Amino acid sequence: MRYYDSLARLIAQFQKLPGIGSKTAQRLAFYILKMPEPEVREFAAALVEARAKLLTCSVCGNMTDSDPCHICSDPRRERKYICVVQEPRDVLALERTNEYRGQYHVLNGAISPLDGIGPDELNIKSLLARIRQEKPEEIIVATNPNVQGEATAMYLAQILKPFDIRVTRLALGLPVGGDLEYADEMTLARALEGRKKI
Amino acid sequence: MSNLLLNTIKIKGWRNYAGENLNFGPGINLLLGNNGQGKTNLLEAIYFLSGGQSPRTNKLEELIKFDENYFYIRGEVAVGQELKVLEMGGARDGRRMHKIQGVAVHRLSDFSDYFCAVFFLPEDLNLVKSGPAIRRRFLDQELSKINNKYRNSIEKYKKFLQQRNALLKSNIEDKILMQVLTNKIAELAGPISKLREDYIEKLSLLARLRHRKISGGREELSLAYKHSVPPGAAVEDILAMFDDAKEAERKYRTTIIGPHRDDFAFIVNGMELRTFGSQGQQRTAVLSLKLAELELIKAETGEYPLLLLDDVFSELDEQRREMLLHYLSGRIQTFISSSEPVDAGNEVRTFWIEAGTIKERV
Ligand SMILES: Nc1ncnc2c1ncn2[C@@H]1O[C@H](COP(=O)(O)OP(=O)(O)O)[C@@H](O)[C@H]1O
Ligand SMILES: [Mg+2]
Ligand SMILES: [Zn+2]
Repeated sequence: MRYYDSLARLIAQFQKLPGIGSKTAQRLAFYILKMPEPEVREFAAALVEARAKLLTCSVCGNMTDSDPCHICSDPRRERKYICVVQEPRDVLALERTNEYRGQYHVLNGAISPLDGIGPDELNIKSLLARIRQEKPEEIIVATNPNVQGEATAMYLAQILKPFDIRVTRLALGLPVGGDLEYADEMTLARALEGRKKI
Repeated sequence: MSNLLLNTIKIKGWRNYAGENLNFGPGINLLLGNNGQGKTNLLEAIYFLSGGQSPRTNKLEELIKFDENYFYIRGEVAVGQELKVLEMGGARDGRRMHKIQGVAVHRLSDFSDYFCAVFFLPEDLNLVKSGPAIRRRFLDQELSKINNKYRNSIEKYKKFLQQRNALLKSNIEDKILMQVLTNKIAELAGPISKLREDYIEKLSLLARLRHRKISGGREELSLAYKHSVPPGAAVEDILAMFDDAKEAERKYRTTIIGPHRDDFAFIVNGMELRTFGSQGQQRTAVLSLKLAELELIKAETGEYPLLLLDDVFSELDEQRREMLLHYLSGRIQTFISSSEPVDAGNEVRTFWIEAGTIKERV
C-alpha cells in the first residue's frame, strides 16, 4: 500500500514538468526506482542544490548562480547596447549566435492582460533605472514576434520616448507567431543585423 | 477555360467511412442515399481538402471514425494539364499531417492555392436569418481564402482585441498600455474595413446578376455593408472615435468600435430580407450569394472552384434547378447530395451511399 502511494507521488511530480505526459512520467518513475540508491541521492541533491544556488541577477534579471551574472560583470562586453528579452532562455539563444556583445535585460514575461500580466508584473522598472544610470545608446527589443511580444515592444517604445535613446526591434526573418528560442542561429544573427527603429 | 477538378479521392477512418476509393466525373456527381448514411460526411471530406476546416466542427476528434485512431484523405486534383496530390491526416492525440505532392506544408492555407470549394449546406440559411456573428464569420473565412493580407490582419486584430477587452475588464490601470493597444486596433481596423467593403461590393454585384436570373428578373438583390469604422479611415480619425467612446467603454468594459461590430444586410427590392423576406426568398438569396462566391474565386484565382450542394438542390423549385444546371453546365465540377432521386440531366455520375460504403451506379 505505502509503496503504491509513494510511486503515485513520484509519477505526479514528473508530470508537473513541461512536455511530460502520464506515460513518460511513469516510465521515468520506474527508471528511477531501478537506479542504485546512491545515484538517486545524487540526482535529488543536484535538483535541490541547483535550486538553492539559483539567483536572479540584480542588474539584468537573468537567472544566474552569482550576482551580478557573468554577462553583467564581464568588462569586455559593451555598455552601449541593452537587449531586452522575455525569458532567460532567450539570452541563451542570442548568446549562441556569438554575434551580440552588449548587455541584456530579462523582463521575465510579456504583457498579456488576458493572462493578468500588466507592465507592473514585468521587470520594467529596473530597466528604466538602469537606463538612467548606465546611459546606453541603444535598446534592442527582442521580444517574441507574437501579439504579446509586439504589445510589449510597443509599450517599451512608448515609455522610452522621454529618454531620447535609440529603440530598435528584431523583426527580420523571425517566424511570425513563433518563439525566439526556436529561431535558428542564422535567422537570429540576421535579425540582429536588420533590427529596425520603433 | 480551365477549371478545377477533383479526379479521385481516398478516405480512411473519416466519420462513418472505414475506407473508400472513388473517382469522379468532371461535371455533376450525384450522391444519393437515405438519411444518416454518409452523404454530408463525404462532402465534408472533400471540403476539408481545401484548407483543413469543416463547417460542422473545429474538433479533430469528431472527424475520426469512432473505432479508429486517425483519418486520412488523399485527393488527386487537376488544374488544366497539371496534376497535384493533396493529403491530409489527423490523429486522436491532435497531431495533423498535410502534404502537397508528398511534401509537408506548414500553412494549411497553402491548400487553397491548389484546391478550392464552395460549400452550400442547409444551415447556410442562417446567413440571412441569424445574427451578425455568423455573417462576420462568413466574411472572415471567405476573404481569408483569397487574400493573405486580410487573413493576417484579421488574425492579428482578433488577438489584440482580446487583449484590449481583457485590459478593460481587468484592474490593471495603465494608460500607456491602453493607448498602445488602442493604436494597434485603430491601425488594423481601417484596412480591414476597406477590404471588407471591396469584397462585399464585388460580391453584391455578382450576386445581383445571379439573383436576377434566378428570379426571372423580378428581384434586385444587393448586399449592404454596415461598418463600424469607415473603410480605409485614417488612424487619427479612428482614434478620435475611440476618444468619443471612452465613457461607454468604461461602462461596458469592452471595445465597442471596430470591425468586430460589423454586419451586412441582404436587401431585395429595397427591403431587408432578414426581417421581411419569405423563406423561399431567403433561400434564393443564399444560393445567389454562393454562386457569387464561386464567380469571385474564379476572378481572383483564375479557376472555378468546386461546388458542393448538400441537400439543397432538391429544395429548389423546377425553374431554379434548371437555371442552376444551365449555369453550371460543363464548367464547374459539382457534387449534389440528396435523399430523393433528382433529375440533373444526362451527363451525371451517380453514387449510392449506404452505411459508409459508396458504390457507383452504372
Ligand atoms: N466520427 C464518426 N465516426 C463514426 N460515425 C460517425 C462519425 N461522425 C458521424 N458519424 C455517423 O455518420 C452518420 C451521418 O452521416 P451524414 O453524412 O451526416 O448523413 P447524411 O447521409 O444524412 O448526410 C451518422 O450515422 C453518424 O453516426
Ligand atoms: Mg446530410
Ligand atoms: Zn546580469
